[in-house]
Amino acid sequence: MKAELIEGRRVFLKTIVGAAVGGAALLAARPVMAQGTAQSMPMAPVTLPKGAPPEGSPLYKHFALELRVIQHELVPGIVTHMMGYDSSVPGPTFRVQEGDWVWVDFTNSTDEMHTIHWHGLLVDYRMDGVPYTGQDPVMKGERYSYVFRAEPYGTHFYHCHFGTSMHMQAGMYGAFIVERADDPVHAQYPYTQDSTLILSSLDTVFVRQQINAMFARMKQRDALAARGALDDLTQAVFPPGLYTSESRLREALARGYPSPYLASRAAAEPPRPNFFTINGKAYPSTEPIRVRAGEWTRLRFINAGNVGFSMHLHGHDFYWVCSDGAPLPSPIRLNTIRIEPGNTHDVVFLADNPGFWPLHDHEVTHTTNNGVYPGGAMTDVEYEGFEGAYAPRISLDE
Amino acid sequence: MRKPIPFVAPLLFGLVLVLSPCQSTAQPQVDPEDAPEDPARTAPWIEWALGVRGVTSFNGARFEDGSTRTAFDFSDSLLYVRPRVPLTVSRDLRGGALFALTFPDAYERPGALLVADAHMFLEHRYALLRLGRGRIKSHIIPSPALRDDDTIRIAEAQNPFSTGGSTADHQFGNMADLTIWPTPRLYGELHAENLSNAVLEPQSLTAFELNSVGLTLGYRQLPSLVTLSVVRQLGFGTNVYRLGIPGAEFAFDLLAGSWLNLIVDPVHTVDWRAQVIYAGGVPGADPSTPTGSFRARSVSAFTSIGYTYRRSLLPTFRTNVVAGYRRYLEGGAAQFTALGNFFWSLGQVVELGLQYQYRRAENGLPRIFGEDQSHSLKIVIVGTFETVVNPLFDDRASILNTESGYVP
Repeated sequence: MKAELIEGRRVFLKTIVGAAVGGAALLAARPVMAQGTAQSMPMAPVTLPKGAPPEGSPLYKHFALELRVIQHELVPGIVTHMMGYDSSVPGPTFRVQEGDWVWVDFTNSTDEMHTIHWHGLLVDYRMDGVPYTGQDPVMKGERYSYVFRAEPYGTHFYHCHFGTSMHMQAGMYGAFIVERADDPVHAQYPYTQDSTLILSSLDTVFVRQQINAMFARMKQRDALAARGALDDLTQAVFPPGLYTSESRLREALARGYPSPYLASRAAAEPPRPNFFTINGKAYPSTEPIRVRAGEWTRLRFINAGNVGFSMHLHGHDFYWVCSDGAPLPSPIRLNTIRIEPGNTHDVVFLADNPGFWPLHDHEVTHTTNNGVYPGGAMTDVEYEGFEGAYAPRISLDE
Repeated sequence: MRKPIPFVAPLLFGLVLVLSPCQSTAQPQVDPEDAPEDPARTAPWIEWALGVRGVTSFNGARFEDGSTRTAFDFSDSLLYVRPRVPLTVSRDLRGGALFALTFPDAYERPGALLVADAHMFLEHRYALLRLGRGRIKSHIIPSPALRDDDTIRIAEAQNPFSTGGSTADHQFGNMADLTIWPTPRLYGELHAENLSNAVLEPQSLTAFELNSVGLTLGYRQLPSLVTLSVVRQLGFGTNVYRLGIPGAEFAFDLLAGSWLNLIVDPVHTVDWRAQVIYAGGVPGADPSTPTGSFRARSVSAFTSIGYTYRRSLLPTFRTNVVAGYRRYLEGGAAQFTALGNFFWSLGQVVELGLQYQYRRAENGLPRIFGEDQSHSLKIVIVGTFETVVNPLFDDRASILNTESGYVP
């Protein structure tokens, strides 16, 4: 039953537990994290959203996420520090049924502050993961419970919403798929393969320098807080309230607080992405999409990065069926689809042209690693059992 | 997680190189006919650190005899460049060079430029090997004085080959040194130098015969955490000099120092430094002569208390009080200095400072130490500007590399 909680990068196991029959099984499955050290972490009190079942109810689908700093291999020879939910980039994929009540215990095992924003899900504002607006950031060593109802149907994702620019580049994102029994896409295109492709981009230097700087600042603030000496101008880049109040920022500046927007206060230059990834990996480490001839495949594109992607599939047209989770009134036939940051788009295609077919970003500078082609946001569609007449005779490192 | 590499390997590797002949055979000339294959090509595999340190002051001094002296002083201003590249023989190795020009200390060859650093280095997670000209290991704990020559007679081991012509004799030399970090904070430095020998070769700045070796062991807190722990640095070491004079083939120094935070607070930091140097010296050396003063048996010590205020964790001001004393164990000569300084941060990297210093020399020290008593005041603007172009590497001692696994 653990498999229902967390999906591997390309293992798609649907949630099969109904609320009425699954209580015991879910409770048994919960200790994915709960048996670990996270159990002893300080936990913020949970204020349940309106209509939520009481805490401990078997109606919840219970998950645990722990965030850690990890060493992540983008491509052989390129290892960099990132932050992984459950030590992976991207984080585990959630798959639940529309209307399910979801309970996520988030444990922050890093030295920085974080939240989780459930992008595209219609949750209570206190569960939306926006710091200082609906919740305090989750501090080092703390746990926070997100409780919400899974709606609406479709392809969504989650990501950190604190230090968002850096933390999303650092790998803090994952897919959140809300299914429903009468899946309108499946009804029209009876797909047998379902793949999620989370697109992202990062500047490895920016991430490295920012994490080091943030950790240093947080250690200093922790030391001050432990002695009760953390004043309001020291405790955050944004003193309390400044995040939502321009007047508070003016007031702080009048008290001698240097503007956080001064170039001289930046820990790193603005990011210039040098790696472009699909599910946390750059080509040639991206996983191919394996299909069977004559069958439909659904691709769920999620842009969790900070640049747009124009994903192009060779040898096939596909039908754009959903945007930001919502089914389109009528599918649109394309061979290239633009996915802007924050958007999710679902497409389906029929595997009717056996072979090996590139699927890549047609913003071709994104098909590089550190500027070197081929790399980046590129993979291919491979037909099961296909043996073509062509085989490379020569391979040159140009 | 990568398997840690035993630090023995780079140690042996470094020793082999250190024991190799140090005579330079490099041909520095670049043949203009040897044009690059593609002159427009950039080199994304090179990281460049470029830096300028400006130290400009107005100095005023009053001496025991009532005379005064004023000067505009830009000594210790520095220009440097440090390229680094990953090495293909091992992804754990980096190679680089450091080249730095500085102005010599005031009243020494005014206007001349001094090559402070001109060395190549090989860098590994556990080791750093430097070969060439550079800063020698003449102290454990740095003095918080404005300029290095303010306390150099007390806070640095003295070069016994110097005749007092330049304070740079005690700071820079041709050297081969190997630093080993068995853990991120523990270090050992094995070093060998050709200290400039003004006694034998007054004009020689290009001799490479080793005349000094030394070993230092210590603990140094990670740079980003220095305000968060009591111990910033502890260390002890020894330098052995091959003088090659009858009856005194060798001389040695012993050094020990500590740098502690008395108040561990990143906003209000109070630190205390102390260092003692025992110079074994040469029997019979006369401290009243320039050369003798650097060879006489002596004990020197300095201590300082510093306060740093970092409002909102940003540099605001810092102040130090320093006292230092060197006593020559034969003849009764002594030096004493006390100073106080204050630096106000005008921005992230520019400070406006003021330093008062009192010096006293007793019992017949030579004129190179100045008048018997003096008071000096310096008003200074200090700026340290560094940028790293194409930053390829994280620091060995960064928080990520020390707490979350090392990434080369």
